[in-house]
Amino acid sequence: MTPVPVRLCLSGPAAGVAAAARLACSHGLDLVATFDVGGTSTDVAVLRGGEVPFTPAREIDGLPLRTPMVDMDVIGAGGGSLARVDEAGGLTVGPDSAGADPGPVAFGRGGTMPTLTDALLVLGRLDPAGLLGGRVPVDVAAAAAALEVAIARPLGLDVQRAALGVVRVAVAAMVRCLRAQAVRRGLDLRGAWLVAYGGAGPTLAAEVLREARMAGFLVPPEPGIFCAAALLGGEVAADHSATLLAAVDDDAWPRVVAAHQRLRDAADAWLAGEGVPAAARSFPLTLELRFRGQGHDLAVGFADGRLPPPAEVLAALAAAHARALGTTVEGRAAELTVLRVRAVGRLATAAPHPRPTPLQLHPHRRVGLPGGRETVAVLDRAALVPGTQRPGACIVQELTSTTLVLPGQRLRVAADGALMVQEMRDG
Amino acid sequence: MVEELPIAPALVDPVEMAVTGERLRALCEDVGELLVRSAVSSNIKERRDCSTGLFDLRGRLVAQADHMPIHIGSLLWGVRALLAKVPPEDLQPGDAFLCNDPYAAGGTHLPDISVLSPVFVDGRPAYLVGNIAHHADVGGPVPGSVSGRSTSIYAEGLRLPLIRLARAGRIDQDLLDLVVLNMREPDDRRHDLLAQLGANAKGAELLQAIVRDTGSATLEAAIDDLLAYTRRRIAMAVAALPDGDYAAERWLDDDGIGDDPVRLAVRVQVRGSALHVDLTGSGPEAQGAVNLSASSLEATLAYCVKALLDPSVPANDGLLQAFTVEAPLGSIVNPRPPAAVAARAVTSNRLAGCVFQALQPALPPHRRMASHNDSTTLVALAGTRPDGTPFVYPESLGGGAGAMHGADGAEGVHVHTVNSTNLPVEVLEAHYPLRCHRHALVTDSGGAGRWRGGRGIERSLEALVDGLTVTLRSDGHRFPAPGLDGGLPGRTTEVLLTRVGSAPEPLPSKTTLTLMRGDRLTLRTLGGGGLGPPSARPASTLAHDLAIGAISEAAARAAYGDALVEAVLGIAQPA
Repeated sequence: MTPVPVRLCLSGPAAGVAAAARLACSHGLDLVATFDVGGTSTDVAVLRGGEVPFTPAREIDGLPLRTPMVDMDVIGAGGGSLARVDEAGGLTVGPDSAGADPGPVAFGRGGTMPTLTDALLVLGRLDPAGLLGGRVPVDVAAAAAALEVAIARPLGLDVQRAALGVVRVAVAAMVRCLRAQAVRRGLDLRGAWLVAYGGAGPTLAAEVLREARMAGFLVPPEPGIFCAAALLGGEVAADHSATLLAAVDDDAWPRVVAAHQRLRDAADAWLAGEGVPAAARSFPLTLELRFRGQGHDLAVGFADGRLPPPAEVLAALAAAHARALGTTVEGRAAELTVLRVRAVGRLATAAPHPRPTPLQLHPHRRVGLPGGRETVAVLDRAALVPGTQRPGACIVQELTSTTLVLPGQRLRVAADGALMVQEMRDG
Repeated sequence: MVEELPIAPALVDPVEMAVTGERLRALCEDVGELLVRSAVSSNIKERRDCSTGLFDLRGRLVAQADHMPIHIGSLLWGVRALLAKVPPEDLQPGDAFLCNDPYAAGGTHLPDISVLSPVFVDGRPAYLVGNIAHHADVGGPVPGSVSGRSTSIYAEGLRLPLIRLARAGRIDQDLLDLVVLNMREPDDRRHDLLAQLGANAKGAELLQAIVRDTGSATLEAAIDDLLAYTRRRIAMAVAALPDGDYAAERWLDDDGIGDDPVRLAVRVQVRGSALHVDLTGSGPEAQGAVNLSASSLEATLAYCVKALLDPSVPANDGLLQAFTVEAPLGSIVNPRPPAAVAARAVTSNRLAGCVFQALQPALPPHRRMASHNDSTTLVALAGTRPDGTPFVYPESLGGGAGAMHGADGAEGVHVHTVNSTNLPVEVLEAHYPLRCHRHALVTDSGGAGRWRGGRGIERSLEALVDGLTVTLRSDGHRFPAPGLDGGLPGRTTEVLLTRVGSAPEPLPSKTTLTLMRGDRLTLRTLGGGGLGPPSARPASTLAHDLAIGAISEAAARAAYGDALVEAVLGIAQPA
């Protein structure tokens, strides 16, 4: 199989989704939405039953890409999203971003327009002593001044209320995209847990939980490098597929069996090339099928990699059809269009489990919350032990991110160190 | 003269407004998605030819999901019909109303059926949620109910005025039976109407949750803000245009039945922040089904205003109030009953092109664009496969987009109010007894200019069986897409029939015929106009055009001149 460079697109966020799926399984969470908020964008995916959702085609930068990729939406809203009041008096956050350069006003690299990160700093939700354990100094006064000129004054609000408004608008846009993903997959967000990572995911998750009325949110250890860490551990996988156009019947089947064997061999050779030992290799199979006359294929999976005989394939298609589309189809012939063998290899190297870096923290600070400013406890994640429970409001800081828990929510630290937050009426 | 517009004078709470805008948009998207997932009609399920909107009891469009541009505001006329016919005290939770007729209920064309439901807050009706969906058939002589050759609305299918389908959650089964009996594949039609009802019920639930979260008074204030803000944004965009009258005319090849072209005349008047569109001078009612119903006209103009002046502005009452229209009664853009309206897609697109063209001089040079294909070519092939099964293959082809300042026109695209995908050749040949001999961009079809118009689409199909019926509904055969600021027009559409053993013969734009095995049908759609004088096109760019076959040497000499072509041929070509 020749290397396919386009498969690198979104590989980082995709690894994050795969890792979030494993995390969901280990916590027994059936319905989960991933919430990866970085500097320029937010990536969201909705998962059920620990299965990473794939889409056969998507658009990157306006260009169509017809190769199976993790099904996620990318929203133009992140920490660097620019907040502005337009000439007609409307407040918008993003999709324009200050990026890494010049970045938020508070980073002192020449940014003059306030960003979402600037608003979070002004609200005290991010540490005024600096990010990344103090390695990135921040100028909160400059952020406040920028917010005053660009947002507060035109809207006739004080700076704190302006900052709260910026966060609310950003969160509303993110929730809209989360809902769209969920609805598209026929799932209801209300029963779902949010898995929050990226630099800013844990900081915004509490508001998203409340706005979207979800069941809770979970923050894995070192959320700011969750995707990178996921790429190092976990699995390697690559699809090997063939378009076939064969009837699902005994006459056509030998051709299908031969194609399947060829794909298996190619997949096996690829895994050998990736250094995956034979015992760690598997070959889940997907058949793209349709009933004669239909316009769309249904992907029917066979996780054990075995290609069943035609009668069994027909039965599996009928069941999948009923589940996905709610209708049963009787006595219709079926066709196979694509055979897809996924080469999956569990890596010999274990995923890294970095020990958390202890921080020098002020035990509390003034924080802008929806109900007003309050003095809020600030906790070092490195010092939290599994089993800890605390009511909000509180802030948990670590090297690569900051988690906010709102009043009315409760924090619990799980056995694996994950932070689990729910509304108190649910928890 | 631009009025002094202060920055944020009248908005009560801009933050609440922005959050509410996101929530209401999410609601409409959710309801629309639910409808797409539960429908069986491929128009709804795959082409997403549907739209969802939220209204208040003052008859204002509050929010609409971004589906098909032709639907902007289309539900609104049905809402007005409902509010005029049914007093609020006659509404109950679980009520649902249907309508589609363009004359009795402000519909667009009969296949687009609206379903409207009241939403109650504190025991009183406060909002209406509605969705409109293109049903695969609503009766009439031709399957699909979109024939261009109907001469009266009475022949186009079942006409529904505003009628109550459900009362307090109980569906009137007799009425539903009557409605679907008059449509082909009634079980599918019933399924989709019920899907529309179900989608509204979900919308009502979601809206009630928003009301609980926000508070009804706060929500109402946020909605007022949103509409005022939208109105203000358009007003400011209009005020930025120089005052004046901006006129243009375009032509349809024919009126669907006769042979004479039909004029579309537009005069856009800009006075400060006021925008008025006068369509006086437009041709008479069409004999065929290409008349533009009032709500289709409003949707087309709302689309033009949004696309040209402020693309990201939300589609709500603020947008619809931002312009006024004058269209002579009894013209193709303001028909009287019983004029037929089913096939209005080309009229809508050509009118959009006319408005775009009229306003070009008002735009700063860097925002200008030449005319697009402003059309669509619809062809349907029907027959019987060798194994005896019947088939219908419908296809809708776009063309070239006009050149823009700074970029050549996009190639092979749909524009304006039409937007659908084509059928890949692999699927076409696997499922139909047809062979595609050519699927390409049409050489020399883009208008020459500093920036070149985009090319049209060629599709050449050979019948592999006898007795294949072809229905062609095309336009753009007579009048090309004009160029701008010295750019040249693109090429017109041509459709050719090549019978076995004969030379190719051109076909008229609207016709029905039968193909025998071996006969070929070749469609070449029109290109977009060029922008700027051809002499200004850089030699290296023209060299690329020649290298990729976008233009032939002969056409290049004619359009760009021998000197430029000689210079180009002296440039080394890529291997």
